[in-house]
Amino acid sequence: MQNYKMHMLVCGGTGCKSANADQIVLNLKRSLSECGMADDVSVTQTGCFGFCEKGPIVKILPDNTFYTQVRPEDANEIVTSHILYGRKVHRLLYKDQTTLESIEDSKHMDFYKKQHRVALRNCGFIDPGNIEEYIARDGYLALTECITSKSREEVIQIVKDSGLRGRGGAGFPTGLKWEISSRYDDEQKYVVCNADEGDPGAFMDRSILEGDPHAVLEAMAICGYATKASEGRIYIRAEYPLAIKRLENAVKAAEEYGFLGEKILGTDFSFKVSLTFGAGAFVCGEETALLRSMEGGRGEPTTKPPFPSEHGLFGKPTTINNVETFANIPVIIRQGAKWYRSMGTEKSAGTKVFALAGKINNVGLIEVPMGTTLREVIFDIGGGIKDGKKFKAVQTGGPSGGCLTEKDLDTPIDFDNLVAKGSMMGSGGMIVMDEDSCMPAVAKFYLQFTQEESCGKCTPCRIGTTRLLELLELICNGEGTMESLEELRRLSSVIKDTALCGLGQTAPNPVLSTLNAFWDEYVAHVVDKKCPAGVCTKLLDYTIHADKCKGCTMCFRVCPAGAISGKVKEVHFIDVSKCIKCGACMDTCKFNAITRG
Amino acid sequence: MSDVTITIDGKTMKVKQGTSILEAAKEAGITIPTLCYFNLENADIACKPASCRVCVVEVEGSRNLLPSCVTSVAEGMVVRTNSKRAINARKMNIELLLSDHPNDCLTCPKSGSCDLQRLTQIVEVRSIDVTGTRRSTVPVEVGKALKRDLSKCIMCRRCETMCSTVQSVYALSAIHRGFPAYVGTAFEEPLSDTVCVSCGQCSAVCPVGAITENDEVEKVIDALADKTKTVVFQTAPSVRVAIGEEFGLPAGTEVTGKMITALRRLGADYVFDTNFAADLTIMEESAEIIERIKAFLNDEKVSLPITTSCCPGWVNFFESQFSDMLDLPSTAKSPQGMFGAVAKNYFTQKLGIRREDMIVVSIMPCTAKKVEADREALKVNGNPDVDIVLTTRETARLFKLANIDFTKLEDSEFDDPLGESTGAASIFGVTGGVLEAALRTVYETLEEKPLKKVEFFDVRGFTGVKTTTLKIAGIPINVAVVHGLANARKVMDEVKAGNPRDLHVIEVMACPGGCIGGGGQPYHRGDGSVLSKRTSAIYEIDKDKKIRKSHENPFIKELYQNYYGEPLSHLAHEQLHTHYTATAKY
Amino acid sequence: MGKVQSKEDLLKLRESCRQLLHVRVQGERIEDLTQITVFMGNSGYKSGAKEIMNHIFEKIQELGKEDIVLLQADSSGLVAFEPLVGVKRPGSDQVLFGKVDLKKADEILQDYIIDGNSIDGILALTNS
Repeated sequence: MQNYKMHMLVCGGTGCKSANADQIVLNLKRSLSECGMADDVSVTQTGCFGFCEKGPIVKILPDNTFYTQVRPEDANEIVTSHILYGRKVHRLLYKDQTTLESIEDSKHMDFYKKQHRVALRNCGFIDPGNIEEYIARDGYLALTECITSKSREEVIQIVKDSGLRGRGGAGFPTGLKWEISSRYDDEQKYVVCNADEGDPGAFMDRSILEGDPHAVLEAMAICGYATKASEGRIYIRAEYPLAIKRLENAVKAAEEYGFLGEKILGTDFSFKVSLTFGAGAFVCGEETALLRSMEGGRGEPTTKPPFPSEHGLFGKPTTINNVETFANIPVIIRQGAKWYRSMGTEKSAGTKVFALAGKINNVGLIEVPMGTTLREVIFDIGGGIKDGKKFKAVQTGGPSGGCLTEKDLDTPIDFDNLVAKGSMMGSGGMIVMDEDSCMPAVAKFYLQFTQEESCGKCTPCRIGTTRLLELLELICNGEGTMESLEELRRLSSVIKDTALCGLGQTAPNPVLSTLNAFWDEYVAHVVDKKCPAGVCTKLLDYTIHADKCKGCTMCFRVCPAGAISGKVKEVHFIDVSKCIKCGACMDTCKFNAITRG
Repeated sequence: MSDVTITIDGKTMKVKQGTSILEAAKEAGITIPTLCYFNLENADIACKPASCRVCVVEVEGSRNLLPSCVTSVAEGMVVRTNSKRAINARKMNIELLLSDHPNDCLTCPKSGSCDLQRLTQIVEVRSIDVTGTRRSTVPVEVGKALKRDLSKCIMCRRCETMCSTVQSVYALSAIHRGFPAYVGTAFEEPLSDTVCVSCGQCSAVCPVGAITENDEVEKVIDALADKTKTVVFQTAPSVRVAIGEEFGLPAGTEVTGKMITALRRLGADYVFDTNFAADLTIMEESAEIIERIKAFLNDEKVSLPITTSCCPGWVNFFESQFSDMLDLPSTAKSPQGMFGAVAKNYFTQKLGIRREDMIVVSIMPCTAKKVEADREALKVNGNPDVDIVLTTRETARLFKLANIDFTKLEDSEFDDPLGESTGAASIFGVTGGVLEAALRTVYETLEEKPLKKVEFFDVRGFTGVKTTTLKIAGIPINVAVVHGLANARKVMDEVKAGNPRDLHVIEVMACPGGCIGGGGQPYHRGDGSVLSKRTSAIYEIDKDKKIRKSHENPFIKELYQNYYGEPLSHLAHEQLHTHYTATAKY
Repeated sequence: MGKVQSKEDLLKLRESCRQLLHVRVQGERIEDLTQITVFMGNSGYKSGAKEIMNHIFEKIQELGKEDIVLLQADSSGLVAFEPLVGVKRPGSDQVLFGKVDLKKADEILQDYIIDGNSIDGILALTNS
């Protein structure tokens, strides 16, 4: 085996790949060859490092230099300066935004200091396409331990004791689910991995599948052993081609090495894994709709009970878990339930991966112990609000969640606390909003999504979400009334109370939580017909300021509605009744004389 | 299965485990409103998507309201079906449905018999505050058998269930996603361009006006108004035990006499009986059965099993799904078809009129009969043997339109020579009836001695597939009686795979229970007792008949004597038999 | 039949695969390791520090010392003393050795680090 003195790790997550990470790899390899160091220094493409705001990332080991925003053109300098002469390329180092000092090692960065990467333990460390790197990190050791020296009951007990709860959104105790599944006797049982990850902006599962696919495969096999299932199926959305490729290769490699297939490691346990692709429906992330889709049927949820553990794929007992839930299993088996419980809160053990996005300085993928506060995530890890703006709200749980505000910032993140505050954990999406976000518009945005993605089966969701969206559109267009707000509440409560599945039941959450926390903003929209955040174009008035207007007539010429009047060298005037709020005048004015509000 | 104790609306009761809250409530005298729920228990047909969310109830300990139709009782469960929360939710969901519905009740064909309309009367929706866009309208489609107005679809999935699970035709399915979703055809093709067999079971279960029968009442009024035409009516066996329901009479009340009177009051020139033609069908078909069995016993190459061919839903089905086995079904036309041929050949001759001057109107429990009458093989030079087909539902509407006070009518008799029928003909309306009728004649023909008992109980009943072996003249004849096309598909697949049970004769009825459960019958609304009461009435008619075997019908004997000669004669073949053509499978 | 047939197979395979990630793992736990830093830069390179570095690396591999990590840095500025090598034990200050040749390198590795003896040639102590 090659003894490389230094390793260069290049982030190969979808985000960095789309910023030419592949070319960086090629260029690094070429430069190393040219300097005669191809045998001394390796270049590996890993999974996501998480610091997506600063990608593409290149990390040099063992000195832990963390290069950010690397371009293919920088590759040669990194090699000739850092690798050849030990001279770090300072302009590519991360600079702390407050102190402006360079930080070489990521573990000293605010973004990373409070993180604890468990599910993401191998992402950004190993080559996801090389099973031997996974094995070097104790890969498949947990599976081996389980099938050679633990009983099924023991395995289930470990998962139960760990306190692991489903990471897909519902937070159901994983060990309990496995135990229930194991109780049903059938020749054919299944393990299904929900890799449909539909929440807009969420990429936790994608990163795990791209960066550490074997963790998921190993966990599924462990689950198969514990629940006596011989077949595993991964339902993965077709919009994740890279993850699909990495998984397919991982399955092949695992089979080749004997971790999947017939009579694994000489035991009686056989387990095979295959992939099924989604076809672009958010609702197929709901477990029963997912199973129906996998069976070739219409992706519509069915009533529970019966639960999949009893009556799942093709009517057989099925254990279905989320990608992140599975990713935690091998390390829980290896390091024990007590270790896992030592992290997190009493009712929510362990860590959680979040996709941190929105008006925040450090956008990326993070993993923190449960119990970390929202304030810590947003202001320490996230680096605070971009452009020095004021924090307004943070949305957790994607389109199923609610908005938390200033007063909630010290809430320790866990399943129950978030629900108590009117939101939910969801799969891990966390969108930060600032003073320029209009909360009714945010609710409208989420309803646009859920309304489009409704499967159409049940009345409250099929028609209810459409009516909710229509109401929000009226409100944002200045046609809403106080009755509209009352109607929003009335509709929301019935939809929540009677929809058939989680999609419908949680669709009103963004509406209800913003109505409660930002009532005044809604009232401003319907009574004053104003949008305080300056977002809803139909509610904004354009004004020409007399002190700045030079009378150049540019705005008058460019107005498509003939709403501007004025003579040359005289202050111009906008007739609000004619104005169609297109903003062309403001865009054209060279004197910043036109404002909108 | 032990009992559990539950409390529902304050009333404590013991209920069998596995019972739904809805059923338990019924036992307690509580009727929770439903909409999509459909459960035809005795036919084992159920559609419980729990998607309308009208039947929701409050259950202590549950965060959300639960659908009572699919939630089972549990020990100690406390249910409130009429709390403010439950009633409010019910109202809201109906309000939502109405906000996406045309609400053209006054002109809708389902007015008065629409489940959604009835619901609004119970749940008191007085205003629709959530108005908004409508699902983009799909144009109204009128086919020969069915009319579809999908702007009214409420996604109850009953039609889809009938078409897929019960009939295995799969012409209907939910399409599109979300708000635009409705139950329709692949690529939104017109129903008549699909593999639809026109059985009309979809229209029989649709709670609203999304699928209804193609209304041809106007055509009959026009025909009756045309003084140059001789209008001849024929009435199917199943109509007389069901049409009374449209006038408030209990299910299964036999109203033959009143039905005839009503038709005469409309201005019919002749009111004949399809049952007469059913006897004729038995003559032809039993001769065919005997011919094939004899040939089989002679080791000759022959097509077996022979299947019945009087059900047009079944004919449409095998022409598309088993198009490589078209030699199996009997070539005999259906009673409707035979009647038309006899009326337009034999009877026009008797009257001395041209066939174009006769209008044959058949009153059928069936929507597929409308398509059958339109078959080229049932026309001569473009003039159909049967001109117009009205379903039972349309006929009742016609009577009402004609100011007829049905229940007060006196009884009348059918006209001769095409009005007399036997008990064997009467039982055509139920599953097993055609076979039993045929057996009565086949038995006496082969055994050359009279039947001691004319009833063949083995082929009666609601079981989907019944098989039995009968020894006739020493020959063991294996027969099967099937109703529901999914069952028919199973049996035909078995035949295709080598016929392991060695079946010789198969009767197939597309509709549950046979024609008494036809797609054009008065709505049973999921009450299975309606079907069983109609069935009992049919067997009663048979029992009360003096003559119970088709070959003993004197008018049939006369018809052969004067006209056809004998069963399977050249003329019989020409007029009373037909052929089948393969159609596209998908 | 897969390549791994038993737990023993897996443990053996893991052992040999560890080499793949060795340097990365060292980076992960760098504070717990003894750090040998070779100061490079153009001047260091010219003075032959690269060869010293490669030699030290091979020696560490030979000796199988997983708790010693080899690092490279830019020239410290002390050009006259290059090849310059720093040794930092966990929790201690860095000790600098100047004009290190192959023999000195071996001495630093074996006598000073592994055996824990004091040796000559310590230039300075820095707290890095």
